[in-house]
Amino acid sequence: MTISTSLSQYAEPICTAADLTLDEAIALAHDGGTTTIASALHAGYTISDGEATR
Amino acid sequence: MSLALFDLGARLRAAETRTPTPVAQYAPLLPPNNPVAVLVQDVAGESVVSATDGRTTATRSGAKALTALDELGVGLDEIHRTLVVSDRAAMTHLARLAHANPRAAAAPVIAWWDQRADHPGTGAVVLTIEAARSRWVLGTAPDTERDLTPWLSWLGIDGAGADALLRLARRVANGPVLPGLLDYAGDDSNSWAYHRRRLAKGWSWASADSRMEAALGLATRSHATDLFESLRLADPLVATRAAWTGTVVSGVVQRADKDALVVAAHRPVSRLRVGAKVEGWAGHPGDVGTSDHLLRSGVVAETTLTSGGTLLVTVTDHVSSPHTFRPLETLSLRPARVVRSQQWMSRRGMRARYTRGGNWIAGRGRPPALRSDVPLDVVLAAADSTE
Repeated sequence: MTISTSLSQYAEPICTAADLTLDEAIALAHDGGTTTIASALHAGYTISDGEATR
Repeated sequence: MSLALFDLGARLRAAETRTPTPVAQYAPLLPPNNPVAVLVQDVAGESVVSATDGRTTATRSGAKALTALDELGVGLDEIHRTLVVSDRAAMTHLARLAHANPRAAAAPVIAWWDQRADHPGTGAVVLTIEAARSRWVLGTAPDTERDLTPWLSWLGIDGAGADALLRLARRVANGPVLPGLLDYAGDDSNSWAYHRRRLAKGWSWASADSRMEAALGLATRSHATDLFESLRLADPLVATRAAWTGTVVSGVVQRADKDALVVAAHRPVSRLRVGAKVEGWAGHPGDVGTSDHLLRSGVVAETTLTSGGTLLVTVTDHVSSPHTFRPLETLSLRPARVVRSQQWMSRRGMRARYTRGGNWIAGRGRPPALRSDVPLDVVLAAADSTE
């Protein structure tokens, strides 16, 4: 997935604060819905079969 | 930070799917009523108004800019029409034109639209971008969403101009309407009828409000905002997002007896303060409206954070139906719904107070001086302020 420069600039500090890289966040967006992405971003989880797991 | 993460998740999801991510299940506005979409622009220092009803489009500029609305039959008809504009700035620009051309046939209608635009949930005015943002998130940075063009592009609406704006507004209003919102149609009709009656009696719409009108107008605007926000929490997607701000708190019932319900929150985020009246439903925030097992009413008596980082919310005076909650059940809590009839009674009380003798808002006497203690940090912040 390619995201726009402006979205990338917006996302990077949020990802950094959540201790994730932007690529990891994008990978989460590929695999999960909004809530699971947020859960994963929030807790440092990974997503498996649409569910956020440690 | 939680909400930023949630919103980022929605944006990345939209970018991934190349489709706007819904953030509301219901349309957050009433279907437009015989709408007129208006684009207002400054071109070489001159206002240009382009208006359409979907069949006819008129564009006029300068001193005759508002005649574009006349050509679409905008006037003081018995049934009000819906104005569709891109955003608040466009509404303000249009109102400025009306004040500059008070004899224009559309001017008193614009004045009414301008005041209705301050009432969230109104069906009289669609602030299209704002409405679209409350329904979807785009796969872009938030700033990009403040323009019309990305919305047209992401939602696959061809063309530009007032016609495209009208189609966007119809798209935003498409689908089931937010429960309870239809009641607003009555508010708009009553307000429109009142506006027409006043004009018929010779009232000048361009005159400034009296202090009492201003105070009551502020109250209706404030009540409309509170009511709309309260209604929005009945939308499963809105409730899900609100769980990330702490406006909705979900968790597992840890203790349940006649004295109290104690809920161990899934996340240690809550805006439900001690003393707040709450309601709830069995299940997660997104289950709102689908569960028959309800917490009809309750009061937050205590919120505590355990040493393990779990937020415990204690609710007393709780009334559930059809049966009480039991330990290990999932429960979502929200602030108690705003009751329209109570708002109406409150405004009626205000009006009665203003018309009594000695009330300074009604122009009698002087406002009483009230003094109270101000926290030191507020005093210091005020002293530091350069404004």
